[in-house]
Amino acid sequence: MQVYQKTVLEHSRKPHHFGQLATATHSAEGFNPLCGDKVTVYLNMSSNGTISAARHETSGCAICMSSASMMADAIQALNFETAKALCLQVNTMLTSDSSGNPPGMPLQSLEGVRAFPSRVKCATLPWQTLLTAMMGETLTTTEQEA
Amino acid sequence: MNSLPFNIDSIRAQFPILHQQVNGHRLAFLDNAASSQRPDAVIDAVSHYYRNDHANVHRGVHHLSHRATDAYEGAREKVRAFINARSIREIVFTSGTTESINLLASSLGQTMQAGDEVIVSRMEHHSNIVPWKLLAERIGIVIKVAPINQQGELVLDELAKLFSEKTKLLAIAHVSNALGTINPVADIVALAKQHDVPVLLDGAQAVPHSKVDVQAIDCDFYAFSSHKMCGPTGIGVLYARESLLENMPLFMGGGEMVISVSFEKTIYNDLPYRFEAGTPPIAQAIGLGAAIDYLEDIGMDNIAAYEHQLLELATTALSDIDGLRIIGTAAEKAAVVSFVFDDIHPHDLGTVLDHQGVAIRTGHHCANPVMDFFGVPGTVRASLAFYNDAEDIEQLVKALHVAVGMFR
Repeated sequence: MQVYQKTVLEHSRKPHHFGQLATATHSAEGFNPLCGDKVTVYLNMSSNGTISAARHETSGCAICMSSASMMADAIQALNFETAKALCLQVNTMLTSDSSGNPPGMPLQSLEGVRAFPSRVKCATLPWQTLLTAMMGETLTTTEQEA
Repeated sequence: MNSLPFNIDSIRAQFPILHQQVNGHRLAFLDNAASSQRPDAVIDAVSHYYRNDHANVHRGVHHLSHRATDAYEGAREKVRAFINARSIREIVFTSGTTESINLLASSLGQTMQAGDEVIVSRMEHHSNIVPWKLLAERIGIVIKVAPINQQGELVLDELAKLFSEKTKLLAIAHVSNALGTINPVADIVALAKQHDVPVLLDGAQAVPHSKVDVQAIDCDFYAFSSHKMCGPTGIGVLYARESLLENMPLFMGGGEMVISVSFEKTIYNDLPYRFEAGTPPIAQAIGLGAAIDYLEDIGMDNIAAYEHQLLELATTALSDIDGLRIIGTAAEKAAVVSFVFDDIHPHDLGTVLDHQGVAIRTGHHCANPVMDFFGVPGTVRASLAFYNDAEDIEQLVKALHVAVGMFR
């Protein structure tokens, strides 16, 4: 199945950067009330807006877990604007038919989710939560637009 | 399976939707608790009505209006006989179980005051929780919750302790949609009667699967939906004991529920019409009538016996899968198997199963308190109907093995 690529399954079985970050300067919880998925994103952001550390605690399906894991890999050491741009790139890849500007591997391995409308929010929840944390807010749900 | 009470192949032949490929596979439709499918008899009845008989009911002097009214009221009589109500005055058509319960909550709510109590159970569908929560927020009623045990059965001893002088209603599922538990409703009603408390049964999951006799159960209110019993969507029933319905405050205002209206005085219609404002779901009622004829032709006892065999087959086959845990193991169960794997999320299973033509439901099944009780985010639920067969279950099991191989 296109949606459960090897990379996706590997990240879901052994998620990277999993767990709390005691020194987090920013953190937010994201919920999908329809399925009970929950993602907490922890960030250490320096005063100039660079993400010096990112971790996540995710309770959800394989798509949600692997999306959070790949996201945590991808945003280490990014600055605020670059991380925000990446959020938009991933969101476009998951929700839009136009090819746009793909985010590259391994994030592109999530592209297959787009063909499963009921599962798109599983993949976007970590990114929505990341944006929420970066904006200094603490809570988001899939039933509100980020 | 043992000797079957009917020819399953000829039953399946009457459901056109079953005979299609989904994602390149034979369709195994195992999401019947969410909504059932329709036999030709129901599809044809609705189509025939629209092609030949449609007009508004109860108001035209013309021929078609008479025909539509006869068909619509004929459906009400079929519903009455189907659940053995005493009179058609006790059969209120609604848009479905949810509206039936909201009608009751809205009406009874007008007679309640702060501190009055409504008892529900832990296994209720959200539609038998939220209407009472709304009353709690609006007028301050108190909701008491009867607990369930690890098998997903109601704890009757604990339920018995919840009654008080302030209890105005016991509202409880006949059959749990998430677990399949069949509650001992006649015993529950007898218990409530000791405290002089009326009982609403949410029968959405019971009526499609076994004979329901509201007089034998002796409940005061009984709610169910057409679309879960092979009838159209958009119509349901509230059965209400006439002596109670007669004195209940009205629900919605409009045409149909009145005899005459002036700005000085309104005369309300007789039962059950005064609870049916506006043009009713006529075609849906006729379709429901056709569904009842169809089910009775097969025989509700035959349906129950066959589905019980399917349930045993499914339970045995699923129990053999490594790591699969069934949620809801009540001694008395309808043909619903809810299950989880500790290491595979229900939604991932749902997607992989769908890819193999198997339609099941994943998630909380509109029963969050049940999921919380069992400590799971959701379950995978296979819910069976009399038109399912052993091949559907084999296909489910095979698809689960594929999913397990993929995620482990």
